[in-house]
Amino acid sequence: MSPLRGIKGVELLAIIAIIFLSSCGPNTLWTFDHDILLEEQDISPNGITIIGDQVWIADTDNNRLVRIDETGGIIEQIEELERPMHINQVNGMPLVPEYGSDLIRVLNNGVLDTFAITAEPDAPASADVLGDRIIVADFYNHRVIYEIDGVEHHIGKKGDQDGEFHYPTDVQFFGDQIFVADAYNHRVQVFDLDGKHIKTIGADANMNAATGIYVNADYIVVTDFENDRVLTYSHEGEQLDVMAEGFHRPTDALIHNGKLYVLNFKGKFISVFQ
Amino acid sequence: MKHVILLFILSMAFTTNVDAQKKKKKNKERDQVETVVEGLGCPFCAYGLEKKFKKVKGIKNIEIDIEEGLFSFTVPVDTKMTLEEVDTRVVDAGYTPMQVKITRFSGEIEETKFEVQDIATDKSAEFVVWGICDMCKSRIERTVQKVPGVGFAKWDKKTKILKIDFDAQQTNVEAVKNALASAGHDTEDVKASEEKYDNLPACCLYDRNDIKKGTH
Repeated sequence: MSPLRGIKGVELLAIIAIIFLSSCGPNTLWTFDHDILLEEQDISPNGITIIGDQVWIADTDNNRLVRIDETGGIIEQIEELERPMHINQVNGMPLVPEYGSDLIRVLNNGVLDTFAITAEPDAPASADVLGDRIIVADFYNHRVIYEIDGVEHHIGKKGDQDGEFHYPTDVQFFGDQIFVADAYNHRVQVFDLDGKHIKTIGADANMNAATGIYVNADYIVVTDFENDRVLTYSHEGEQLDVMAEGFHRPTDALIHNGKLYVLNFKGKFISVFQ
Repeated sequence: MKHVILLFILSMAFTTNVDAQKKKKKNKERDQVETVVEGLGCPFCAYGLEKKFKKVKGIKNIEIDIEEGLFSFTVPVDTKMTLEEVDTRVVDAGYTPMQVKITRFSGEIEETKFEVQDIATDKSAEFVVWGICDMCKSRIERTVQKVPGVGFAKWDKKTKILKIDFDAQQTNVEAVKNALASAGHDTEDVKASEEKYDNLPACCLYDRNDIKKGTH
């Protein structure tokens, strides 16, 4: 017996219309919620990490780290940093790569400590820690520094082949993989914990500077800086969503409690999606 | 003998103190350098400019305003930094200086400003120049406008086409393309050296594979 038997003509038409509309409508993976405006506070957001309910933003232009409330008001600020870039967290503390001083800093109870690494990066743009491992996006050396228990290794060199980089700007551990925003090769590269290249994502998306990434169990989100876009991929590398409206030079993204936060460096606001 | 040693120690201490004070005074005597740089695009490139200038001995008070394209710093008077040196350093770092001003410790002001040549032109041309961003646009247009005999120059970021008006008595398309190659930008028949291309800031590194494929 046909499953459509018993459905009236009008109902059938409605079902077809719903299927048609849902297949040709705009991407609906993320729904815009609100903007957090930072213009008045003169914050040019370039990096974000959320620790518990604390939202920390790297304000590169003003050499500071700011903790903001849900409206963008400044609760706390740490000054005298040297161009903090894509921040992260380690043991519940903000992890801050200083592009200007080549140091990795940790904000420990209001005091800036230096996270000791053996390598000497030239303009660290991002860092992430997993147990005794640290990865650093070594911008001017076109490589990722990978230290295990204080022993220095490197992933990649300058180039555009798999496993090579052109100014990496963001790094993240997720599970047993390392994700790298290979900014000026306009793509994301994925490596295993031995530093072996596994796959490349987004190479055919015509990005112009893949500056920021965020990875969770479901998605890989990439900011496409010059094109004012945010792209979402599955872990298999399938493009799930492209958002191209309402951004102004997005530099970084983060997913927290089901919300996607996109930092607009030039626009001085954070776009929040559900 | 004891007095001689004591006198020697005192004179040494005095000399060291005078030297330290002279050094301190000289360190306080600083020239203020201000530049207007066009097209500071992404934060990584903009702060790369700052990083490259940090190598200048004694440089302090570095400030950069990406929105306004302002880049300023101070250097000890002994550095004797010239307008040309600042201009060259900014260009060598891959950026496009529009204005350089030095306020000497003495109060004297030196200034240079980029201006489009006010000349009569009798020929026009248009051709593809490879570039990718707003910083490229500034560099391409200013580089061409610095070639003696070129008046109007406009490059379109999307189509990659450069339109120029020039005085055929003073210059030609080949000279313009050579100037662009020296600045790191390829045209169909004149390519930049690897060194010049590599020296472009990160966001200006257009994909040379596109040129091989004939796409732009």
